[in-house]
Amino acid sequence: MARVRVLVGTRKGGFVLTSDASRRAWTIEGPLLEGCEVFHLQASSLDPDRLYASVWTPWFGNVIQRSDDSGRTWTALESKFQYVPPVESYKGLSGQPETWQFRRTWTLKPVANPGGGETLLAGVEDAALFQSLDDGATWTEFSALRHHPSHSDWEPGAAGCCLHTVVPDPEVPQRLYVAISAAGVFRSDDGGASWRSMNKGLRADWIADPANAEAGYCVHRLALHPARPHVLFQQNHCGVYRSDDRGETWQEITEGLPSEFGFPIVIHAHEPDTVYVVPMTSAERRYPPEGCLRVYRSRDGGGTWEPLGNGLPDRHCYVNVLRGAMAVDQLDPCGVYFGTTGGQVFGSRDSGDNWAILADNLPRVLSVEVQTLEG
Amino acid sequence: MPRVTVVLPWHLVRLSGSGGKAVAVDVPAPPGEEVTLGDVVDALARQHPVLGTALREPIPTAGPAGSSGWRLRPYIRAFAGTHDLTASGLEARLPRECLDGNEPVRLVGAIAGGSPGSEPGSRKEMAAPGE
Repeated sequence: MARVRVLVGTRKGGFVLTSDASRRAWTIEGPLLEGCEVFHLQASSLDPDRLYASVWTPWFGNVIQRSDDSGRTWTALESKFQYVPPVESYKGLSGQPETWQFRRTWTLKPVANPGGGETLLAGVEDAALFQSLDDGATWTEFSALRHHPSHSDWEPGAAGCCLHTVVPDPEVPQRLYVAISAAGVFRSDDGGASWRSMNKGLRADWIADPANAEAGYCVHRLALHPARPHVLFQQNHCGVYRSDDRGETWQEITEGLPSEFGFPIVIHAHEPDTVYVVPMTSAERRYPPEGCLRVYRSRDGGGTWEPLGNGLPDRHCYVNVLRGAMAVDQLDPCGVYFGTTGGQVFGSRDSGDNWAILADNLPRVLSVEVQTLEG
Repeated sequence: MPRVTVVLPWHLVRLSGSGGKAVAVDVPAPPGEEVTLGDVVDALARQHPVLGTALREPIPTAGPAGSSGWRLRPYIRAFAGTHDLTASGLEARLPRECLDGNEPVRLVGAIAGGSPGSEPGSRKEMAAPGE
């Protein structure tokens, strides 16, 4: 019988929530790596017992940890992320150039290699993409991305200039998308050797001439469905968008949502046109409209949206849902999960129709990933 | 070659996998030569690579080099016995007592403040993580 494991990264450690396929009763293990911010807790694409954690403390910085026993024990890896020279500058918040400096790992993305083995990709702040071919022991940068001609126009979002989303194309191993806040979406068709900006059609209220700007766009999250990889969805600072041409152009699909602002966007495991977002009031307020937490679902690829709230707080709810804190399982019906900055983890075992609280009073939830396990 | 005892906080003990509160490191230096805190951290990093990235960070410098050496992380304080070495950073010279094995070097996570290189109150320190 299948099992589901929800991997939750929080401000004060990692947590693992486990259930059988019914997804009615959950056990909670944690905190793992206690005392540290677990920015991202992620599972290997090959070995379900192998977990990776991006761990950060203000004192000792960023450390990648690896577990080979589902999180019971951990090995701290050297975690040396060195930019390939030359190191240049992006546009700091004050508008003055700011020199690239490694701060932390935002996201870890294990990708199974066609010929066997696994490549581990890491998106970091200040924005860059690294890969490890030895299970996280050593890291090398895809420096062509950071040297993209638009790099001096990249700027930090509220939490820094970060590469937060890595999306490989499951059909074309050499194709890879990344999302950087606030630079935009970039695509490589040659395994990271070169990159193109993919931001045509996006709004950016702070750019004077967005029709001609290559970068400066605040993409919050990017998603594609493996069965239809030429279609991309993104939640942006300025709306929700869809691309039907591998990111070459974007069409806004915000209409029908109560707000253009939000962080995560995920796609149903079996329905490529079913998309979920969690709108927040505005960039300034970052809480659910009228204190009423709702997930919005579109079943027609963004043409129309419906609020899903059965089991979610109807009032006095002022949490946020961060960009990496929403995921789906692979069961049928599809399970949808998200964590809040208030430390709640909600789950739906019927594609969003009904929700239950799986964990409450956890630390601020930074990331949610889901493993669907056999046996 | 002087053998220096380095007392580490709990987090770093766990990272190093050493199992004790202190780590002894051999610091390559000819007899009578000065030994700096940077030499000790280098030796620690050779023995426990993860401690190298946990204790120091590259000094970011725009240009072809990309960085101009290392500095102690902003919120780490270093002591030789009761001497606070933090302000001198990795350049700090260790007193003879540490090289003779009579006093340990202590590396501590700061409660507040830190080295002159820190940016307390800066945007980066105040930003809510992940948002």
